Amino acid sequence: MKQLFFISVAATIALPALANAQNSAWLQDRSRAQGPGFRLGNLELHPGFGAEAGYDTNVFYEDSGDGPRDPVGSAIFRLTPHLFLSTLTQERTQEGEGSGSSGGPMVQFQAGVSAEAYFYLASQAKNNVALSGDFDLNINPKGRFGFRIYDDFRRRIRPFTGRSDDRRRNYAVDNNLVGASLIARSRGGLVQASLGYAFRLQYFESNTFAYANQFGHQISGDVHYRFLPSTSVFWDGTVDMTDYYNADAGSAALALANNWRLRTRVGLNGVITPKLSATAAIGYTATFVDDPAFDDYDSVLALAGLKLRLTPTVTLDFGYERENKNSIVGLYRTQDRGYLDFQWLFGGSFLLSLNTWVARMKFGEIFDATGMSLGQRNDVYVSVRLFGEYRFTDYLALNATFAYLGDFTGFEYQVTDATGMAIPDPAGFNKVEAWLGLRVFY
Amino acid sequence: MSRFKRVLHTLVLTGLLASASYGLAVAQGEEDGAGDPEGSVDAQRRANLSPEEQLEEAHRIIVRGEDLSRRVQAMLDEARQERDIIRVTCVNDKLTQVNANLRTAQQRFEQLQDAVEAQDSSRRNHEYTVILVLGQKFVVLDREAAQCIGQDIFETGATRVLTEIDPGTPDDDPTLIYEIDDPPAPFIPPPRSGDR
Repeated sequence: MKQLFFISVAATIALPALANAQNSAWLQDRSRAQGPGFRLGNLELHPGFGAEAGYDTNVFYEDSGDGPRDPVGSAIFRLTPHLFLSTLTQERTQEGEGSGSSGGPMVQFQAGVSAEAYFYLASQAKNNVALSGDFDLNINPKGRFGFRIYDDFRRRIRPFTGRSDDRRRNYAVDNNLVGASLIARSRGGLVQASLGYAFRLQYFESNTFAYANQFGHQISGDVHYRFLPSTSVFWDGTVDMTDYYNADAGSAALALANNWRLRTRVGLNGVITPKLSATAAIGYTATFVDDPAFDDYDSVLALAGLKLRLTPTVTLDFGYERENKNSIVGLYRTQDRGYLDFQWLFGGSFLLSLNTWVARMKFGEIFDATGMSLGQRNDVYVSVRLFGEYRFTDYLALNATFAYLGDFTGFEYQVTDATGMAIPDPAGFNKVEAWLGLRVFY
Repeated sequence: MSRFKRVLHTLVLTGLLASASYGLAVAQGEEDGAGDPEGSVDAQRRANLSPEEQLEEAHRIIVRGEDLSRRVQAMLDEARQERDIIRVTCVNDKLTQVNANLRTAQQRFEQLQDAVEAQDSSRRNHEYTVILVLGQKFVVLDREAAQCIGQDIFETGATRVLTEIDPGTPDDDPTLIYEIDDPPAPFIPPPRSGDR
């Protein structure tokens, strides 16, 4: 049983995780976090608790040497309880507990809540609790017509930018994404199309950053034409409107303007041979800014990646991506990224994963609150994350995480010191994190 | 070779040729129907029937022909419903022949009745013989109609495609496009000094 669950975990963590160095690694993929679970009728309940100790060399993303303040390192303790609820997972339905039902279930549902309590030993950082809650209801997921409704709330509390003084600020930011989509499939599932709407909100709890609060409307659609063995030709497109509803706040460090972004692409995705999968897509994006002071922008999008299954338990992903993203700095950024992900499951009990990417980022022109141009910003961003976990039993695991983030840029913000004098603050940083912890789960 | 041996060989060869010729004649006779004189004997036997027995037998043949006509008509309707043009053409041809022969048989039956009433035995036997031949024709047409084949001989029916996928092929959902994680923190300037 343990091996089965762990293999299923290994199969899923190769998928795009919301992986970042800020959260507990296992929380970023639900199937990784949960064990066999308690069965409650047609539902499964998965509780868990983790305790970790770690060290962050640069809590406030500060530049070493050239900035007005030196990076602050801190030991951190993190406690992470979670509770997940879902309809029966694939492991159960395939192991004979699915009461012999044929076909897929009419309803798939999953929900979860988790918290991460951070305790910093450095006095400059504030102890706080991050929260997450989500649900995802999928009606008739395998039928001709389906409907999906979902919500994802996250409260992050870890610092995300530099300091201008020694006060302990509140860096909490709340993100919520709620949406619904209609899904239609041809009789045999050869063609699948979906159309959805989502509303997103980003809310900085501190007045200091309130000027960057934003909400957005997002309309998205996609069409997939599937063929054997497990491959599809697809089109997807998104229209995304961003509204900085608090941009005139007195604390504003930047001038922000409402904008909307169009994004569309076509491509191929899926299995080529049992050992090789590929993704290739090309598209177009355009950003239109309401304020004529900002330039509109358009560009080509691209995605090309390969996934090699070196052995049944070893996978290697690598590729290139050109994307355009929403950004507070510059309103948008274009990033050319190369990525490499490696995963190794050993003996059904030990999992090792490496996620790395290097990106060249180019931001839109940046204006300060007075409308003065701060010029363009170009970054080279490096992210490396190494995660290992050993499962002693079905419910107890030891894990370790090492992460490096580096931002190499010549761009400098203008901040004011206590006397009101403007001083440059380099935007680059280097940050290393290391964590070691135990977790129990079921 | 001695004269005795030559005579012996000649006799053996003659015997073999005679045997082969006899066998060939017998076989050919069977192929020609000479070995199966049932039809002629049967006709001859029935020709010797009394007039009432001939009328009764002739009536049975006509009833058989009418039954056959109805059955072939039903086969034709069925083939038309199935839009099986090949079978329709074949069955329609047999039905035309059956009906033509049936009409002839019915006319001959009336003439047979007249001959019986007129006590004209030679005409009666002639009409009866014609009806017997038409009855044999019904048997042949019945068999041929049943052998009419349709499109199903050319079509293999609804196509069933069996696809075998290597059991080791991953069942990844191709509708999920790989997404690389974003930077963990938003890009935003540091706060201004004095801000709360």
